[in-house]
Amino acid sequence: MARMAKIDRPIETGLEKQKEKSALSAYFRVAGQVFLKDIRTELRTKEIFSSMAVFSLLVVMVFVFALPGKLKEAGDVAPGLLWIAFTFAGVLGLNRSFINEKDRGSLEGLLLAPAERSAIFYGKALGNFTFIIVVELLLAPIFSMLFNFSVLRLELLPVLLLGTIGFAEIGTLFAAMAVNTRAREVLLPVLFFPIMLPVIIAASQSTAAILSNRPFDEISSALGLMFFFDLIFAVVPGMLFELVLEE
Amino acid sequence: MATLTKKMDFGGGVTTGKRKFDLSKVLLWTMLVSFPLTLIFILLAPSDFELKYSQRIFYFHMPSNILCLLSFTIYFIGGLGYWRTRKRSWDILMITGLELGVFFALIGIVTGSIWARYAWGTFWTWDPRLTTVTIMMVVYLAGWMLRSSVEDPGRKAALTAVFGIIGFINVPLVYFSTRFFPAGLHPIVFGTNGAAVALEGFMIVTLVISIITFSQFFVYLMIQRIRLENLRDQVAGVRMALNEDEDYA
Repeated sequence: MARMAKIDRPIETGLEKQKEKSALSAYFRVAGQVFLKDIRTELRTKEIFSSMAVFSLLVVMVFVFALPGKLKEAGDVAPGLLWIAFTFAGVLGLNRSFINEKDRGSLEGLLLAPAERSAIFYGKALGNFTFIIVVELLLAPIFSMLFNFSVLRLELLPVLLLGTIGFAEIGTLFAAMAVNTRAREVLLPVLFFPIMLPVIIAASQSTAAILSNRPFDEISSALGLMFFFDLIFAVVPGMLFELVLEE
Repeated sequence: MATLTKKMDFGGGVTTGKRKFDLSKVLLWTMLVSFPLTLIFILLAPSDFELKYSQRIFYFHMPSNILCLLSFTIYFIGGLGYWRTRKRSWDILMITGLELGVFFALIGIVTGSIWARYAWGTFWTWDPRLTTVTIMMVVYLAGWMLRSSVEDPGRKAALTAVFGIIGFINVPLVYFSTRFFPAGLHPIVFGTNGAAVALEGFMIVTLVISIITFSQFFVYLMIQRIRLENLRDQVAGVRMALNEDEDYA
């Protein structure tokens, strides 16, 4: 990494402040470019999005068929099922984000770029966040329709955002880890689910509280936990990403 | 600590010259004394008023849980060390902590649920502490799987380190998230809380002796695990040297 930074550094001008500023803006530019590259690739191939959307729809349909025909209280199970569907769809999309890079050989190119590794991580994580949130927003109305139970509430938006940010942060790191192992597609959920359990517990509990119109006090600590999780894992994976991609 | 695993060869392997001090052998002898002593103390300790005989499993339960947490802390420290230095000795420390942690977590869970069958009438309840320790064990089992599915030694160490750091940071978050479940049954043994189970003087002595014995066992296992990993390195080195010879022939 140090080697990369040396190449990238502009010729000494003595203007330390300006240099720092340009380094910082270069960092964000790299992250932004990685993000835009992912979006552009996705808009052309529609590979990740289509597989996630179809898969999550199928998961919901399996729930509908597996559960008894007439649920007494759809509200008891709906929050949990919704988050299971989100988690499964998320894992599927996260898996593709690095496997595609690896298989096309573009990961090496990305690593050769004279940029901070963590900038690549944040760009990727932002891309994954976008894919997952779009699928979630699309799935929610379909879910409401199939279960005949509306989960469409504006209050759910913060829960959705906080949960998905956590998914993207940990998921991107673990996807990069899993891609270099023998059982790559299988390994990601094995690593991802146990670590994500706090977020899944907090998100489904607070979704249940919102849908049954319980007061905000009940979910404030769950939201706080998710916020804290997102905050910690916004920083830590960025620091460790360099280690993950070491050859 | 970084040099600990490297410098202390702990005997074994192809070592030349005079015999070195071997801590594991000393521990083996002291354990020969302390294990029977612990058992005697456990049998002599007074029975609990309510829980009767079943309370005695506590002398196995608590030391295992302490050592489980210690192991995962060692794994975390190893992870941080590897992250900073990329040294093989930190990697050995990580694998030692990881494996021993899963082992002692398993002992803790099994003894706990046997006890719970008598005390609470059920093997399992989703109590915050039980949930936390279970999730923790699943996390570290996943770490073990991760390690076994990587071939390249450098990458193996790197990925183990990353997972160890993330997993350890996650433990308090898991504990906090389990608080959203209804309150549990797990007793609080030490502390001023009203639900605390009081321990008599003799019981505390027994507990301390049990913890000491378990710690000896723990250190012994740790030395052996480090030694095993060092031997593997030696074997790999010899094998590589042999292969090179073949190539030239």
